Amino acid sequence: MAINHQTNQFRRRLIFGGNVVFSVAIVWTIIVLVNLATERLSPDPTDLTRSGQFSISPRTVNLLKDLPNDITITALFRISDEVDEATRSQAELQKRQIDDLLRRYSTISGKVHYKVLDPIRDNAEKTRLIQTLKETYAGEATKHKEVIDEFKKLDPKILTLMDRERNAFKELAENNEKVNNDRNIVAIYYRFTKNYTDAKTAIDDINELVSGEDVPRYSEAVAIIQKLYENVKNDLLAASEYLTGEGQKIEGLSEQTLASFREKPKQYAELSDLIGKQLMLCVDLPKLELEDIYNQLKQKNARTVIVQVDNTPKSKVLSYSDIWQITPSQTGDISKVDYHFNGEAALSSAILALTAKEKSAAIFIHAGGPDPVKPGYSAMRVSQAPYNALKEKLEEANFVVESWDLLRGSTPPEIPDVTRKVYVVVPSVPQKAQPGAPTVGGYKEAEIAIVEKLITDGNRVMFLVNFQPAIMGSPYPFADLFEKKFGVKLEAEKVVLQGIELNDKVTVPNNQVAVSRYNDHEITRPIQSLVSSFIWASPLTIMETLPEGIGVAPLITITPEMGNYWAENNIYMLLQRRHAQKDDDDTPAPFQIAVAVEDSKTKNKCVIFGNELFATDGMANKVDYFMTPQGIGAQYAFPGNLELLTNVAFWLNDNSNLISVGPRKADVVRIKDISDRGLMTWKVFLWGVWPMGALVAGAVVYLFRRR
Amino acid sequence: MNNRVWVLAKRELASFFFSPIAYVVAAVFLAVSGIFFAGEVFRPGHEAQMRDLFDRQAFILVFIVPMLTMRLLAEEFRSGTIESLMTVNVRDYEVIFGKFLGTWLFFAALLVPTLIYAFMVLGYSGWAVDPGPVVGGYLGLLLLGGFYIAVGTLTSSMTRNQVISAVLAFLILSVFTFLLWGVASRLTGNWQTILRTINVYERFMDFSRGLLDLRHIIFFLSVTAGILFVAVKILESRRWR
Repeated sequence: MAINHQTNQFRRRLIFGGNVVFSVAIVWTIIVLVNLATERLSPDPTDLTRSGQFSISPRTVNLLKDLPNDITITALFRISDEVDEATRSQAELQKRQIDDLLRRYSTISGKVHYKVLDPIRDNAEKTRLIQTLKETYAGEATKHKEVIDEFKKLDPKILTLMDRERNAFKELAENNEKVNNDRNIVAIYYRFTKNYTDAKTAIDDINELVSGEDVPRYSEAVAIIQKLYENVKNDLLAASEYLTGEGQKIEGLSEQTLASFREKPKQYAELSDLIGKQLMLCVDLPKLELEDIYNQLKQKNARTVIVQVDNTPKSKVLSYSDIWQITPSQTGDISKVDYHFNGEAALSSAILALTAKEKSAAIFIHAGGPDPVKPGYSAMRVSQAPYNALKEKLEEANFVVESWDLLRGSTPPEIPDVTRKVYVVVPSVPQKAQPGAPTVGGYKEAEIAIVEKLITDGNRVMFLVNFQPAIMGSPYPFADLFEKKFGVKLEAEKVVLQGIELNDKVTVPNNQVAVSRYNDHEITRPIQSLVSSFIWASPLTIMETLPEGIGVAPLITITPEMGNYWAENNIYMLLQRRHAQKDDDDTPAPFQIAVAVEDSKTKNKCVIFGNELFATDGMANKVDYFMTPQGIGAQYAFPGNLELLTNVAFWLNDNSNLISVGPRKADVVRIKDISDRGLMTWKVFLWGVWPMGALVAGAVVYLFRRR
Repeated sequence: MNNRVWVLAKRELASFFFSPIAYVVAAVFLAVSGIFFAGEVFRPGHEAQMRDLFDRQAFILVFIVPMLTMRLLAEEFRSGTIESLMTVNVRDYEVIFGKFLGTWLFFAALLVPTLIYAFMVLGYSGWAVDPGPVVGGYLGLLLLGGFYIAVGTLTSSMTRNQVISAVLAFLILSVFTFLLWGVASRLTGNWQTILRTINVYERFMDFSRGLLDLRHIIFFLSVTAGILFVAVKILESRRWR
C-alpha cells in the first residue's frame, strides 16, 4: 500500500507539475512572440521633450532600418578630473547626448551595436580596438609604401643635384660681385640649400614615422615626401625660368656662364620629370583612415566616435568638431559659447558613406581652364582646386566626384559602380595664355550643345552661375537655355547689392548677401537655421509663362523685408568708382538667387544658383575665429553653403530621404545660482527632515492604532 | 476589476500603511534619493532635469522593493494564514493579483513625496523645465516598479522565509538591472542586442529621457503579467504537492 501511495503521489506531482510547466511555457512563448511582434510593428517612440531632442529624422530611420551589415560604433569620451564644475557639467551633458543618440540608433536597428569607452580607464579595450583596426586596415597602405620606396631611390638624386647646384652658385657668387648681389641667384642658392637639408633629413624622419609608433604613419611620411617634391619641382622650374630669362641680363657674366645658365633647364629636366610623375601618385593617395583613427585615439582627452562595419575594412572617424559645432554665445557674453549637437547628421552621413549599396557620382563640368576639383601641377606651382571643400563634402555624402573637361571629350567620364549621376556646371572663363594670343576655354556653341543634350536626355544638372557683365567679356553662355528650357530669366550682367546707409546722404553698396531664411522646399527645409552667404550674385526671375510641364520653385528669394537689396545694372560705376545707387534700370527685390526646376512630364530636375563663388573654398570653407573660455574657437563662417549644395545633390539624385538634418541647438535649462546657505538648508531638508517625515507619519499611525 | 482582487488589494495597501516597516522603507528610500538628488541633480549651473535621479532610483528600488514584497506571501505561509485565506471563496490568481496591486499602489504612494524634487527643479530653473521627461520618468518608474514587485511576489510565493524571499528577489532584480546592463555595455554584436533587449534598466532609461516607446510599455506589462502567472502557478502547486 505504501508503495502504491508513493507512486500515486509521484504520478500526481508529475502530471500536475507537467501541466504547470506546459502552461508556463505556453504563456511565456506568447509573451516572447508579442514582444517580437511589437519590436517589428511598433511605431516610432513618442518624444515627450519640448525641443524634440530625441526625435530622429526619417532619413536616419530609413537608413538604419535598411542596413545591409552590422555596425559597431565606439564612442571614446573622457571627462578630465581637472576641470571646473561648469566644464564638467557641459562634458557630462555632451557625453549623455552621444550616449542617448547611440542608444536610439541601436533601438531603431538591431544591427547597430555600440560602446562608450573612457580611453584612459578602459585602456585595455582601447588597445584591443587599435589591434582590431590594424588587422582591418592591413592592406590600406600598399600604395603609400610604394611611394616611400620610390622616394628612397629618388632622394639620392635630389641630394646630388641640389648639392651640386648650390655649390656651383656659391662658387659663382664668390667669384662675381654682380652675381653675389643678385637677389634671385641668392634665393635660388638658399632654396637649393634648404631642399638639400630637407632631403637629407627626410629619410630619417620617414623611417621614424613608419616604425616609431603603434601604428605606422605612412600618410604623414608621404606628406613629407610630397612637400619636398613640390618644393624641389617648383624651385627647379623657377630657377630654370630665371636663368634662361632675367638671369641672362646679369651684367659682367662671361658668355660661358650665360651658356651654362641656358643649359640648366636641360640638366634639371630629368629629375623634374621623375618628381612630377611621383607627385601625381602622391596626389591620388588618400589619407589613411587608420592613422586618422590612431591620431584621435592617442589624445589624452579623446572625444571621438569610430563607426565600423563589422567584418569589413570599412570605418570612419568622427571628431569632436564633427559632432558638436561650437559657436559664440547668442547671449553676447564672449566668455560663453553655444554647443550645437550635430551628432545625428554626422553619424548618419558616416553610416551612409560606409554602407550605401548604390554609389552616386557628382561630375563637375568645365570647358578648359583649371580643374574644378583636382589640384594642378602643370604650372610653376601647385594650384589648389577651387571646389575642393565641396568635393570633400560630397565625398562624405557618398558621392564619387569627378571632373569633365568638355574641351577634351564630348562624353562624360566612365565611373565604375555608379548608378546615378549629378552634373555640376561650373563657369569657365575664356583665358589668354599670353597677351595677344587667342582666347582658350569657355563654353562655346559645341559645349553649350553638349550641356543642352545632357538636359534633354534627362540628366540632373546643377548650374553655378558667375556674374559676367558685358564689360568683362562674353555673356553667361547658358542664359538662353534657362529661358528656353526652364522659364528662368538670368541677369548675369547684374549683381545683387545691399545698400547700407552710413548716414542720410551716403549709402555704401555691399555685394555680399547673407541668408538665414530660405524658401520652404525639400532642399532647404532642414537648414533653416544655418547661415549661407553669396557674393557677386546675379538675380534670377521666374517667368510668368513657363514651358509646358515645367515647375519652378524658389529656393532663396531676396525680399524687400531682408533689407535694401537690388540688382545693380551699372557695373562700370560699381567697379571703377565703387559707387552704386538704386535706379530705374536696376532690378528691385523681390527676385531669386536660387531656384529648383522640375519637369512634371519627364521627371527631370535642375537647380540654378545665381552665384558660383559661394561654392568655392574661399566662401564655403571660410573659418571665423573667436574667443572661448578654453581658448580660441573656430567655426565655419557660412555653414549653410556646403549643406545647401549637398542637399541639392541629394535632391537631384532622387535621394531626398538622405537630405541632411541641421545641427540641433543646445536647448538646456539650468538650475540657477543658489547661495551656499540655501544649498545647505535644502540638503538638511532632503537628507533629514523629509525622510524623517515618513518616520514621524509611521509613528503617528502606530500611536493612533494603539489607542 | 474583480471585486475580490480589489478587496485584497485594499487590505494589502492598508496593511502597508499600518506596518512600521513600510515607513522605515519609505524613509530609507527618501533619504537615499535625497542624497543623490542633492549631490548630483540639484547643483547650481547643472542641467535642470530629473533624469539623473530617476536613473539612480531604478537602482535604489532594486534594494527597496524586495523589502516591501518579502512578506507578501512568505509571511502568510509562515503564520499559516494562507490556509484560512484559501478556505474563503478566493482563487489563487485573485490572491496574487490582489497582493500585487496593493503593493503597487503603496509603491505609487511612495513616489508621491519625491514630487517635491520635481518642484524644486522647477522652482530653481524659472519654471522652464521640460515636463515631458518628468512625466515619462514617473511613468517608467511605475512600470519598472510593477516589474520589480512582480519578481518580489514570485520569490515570496516560493518560500516561507522572508529573508530568503528578499535575497532571492534582490538577486534576480540585480541580474536584470545591473548585471545585464554592465555586461551588455562591454559586448558587441548580437549578444549585446539580446542582453539589451532583456535588460530592464536600458528600457527604463528611455522613459527617464522622455521617450515613450510602445515596445517598452508592452515589455514591462507582458513580463510583469508573465511573472505573476508563474507566481499563481506556484501558489496553486500547494494543492497538489
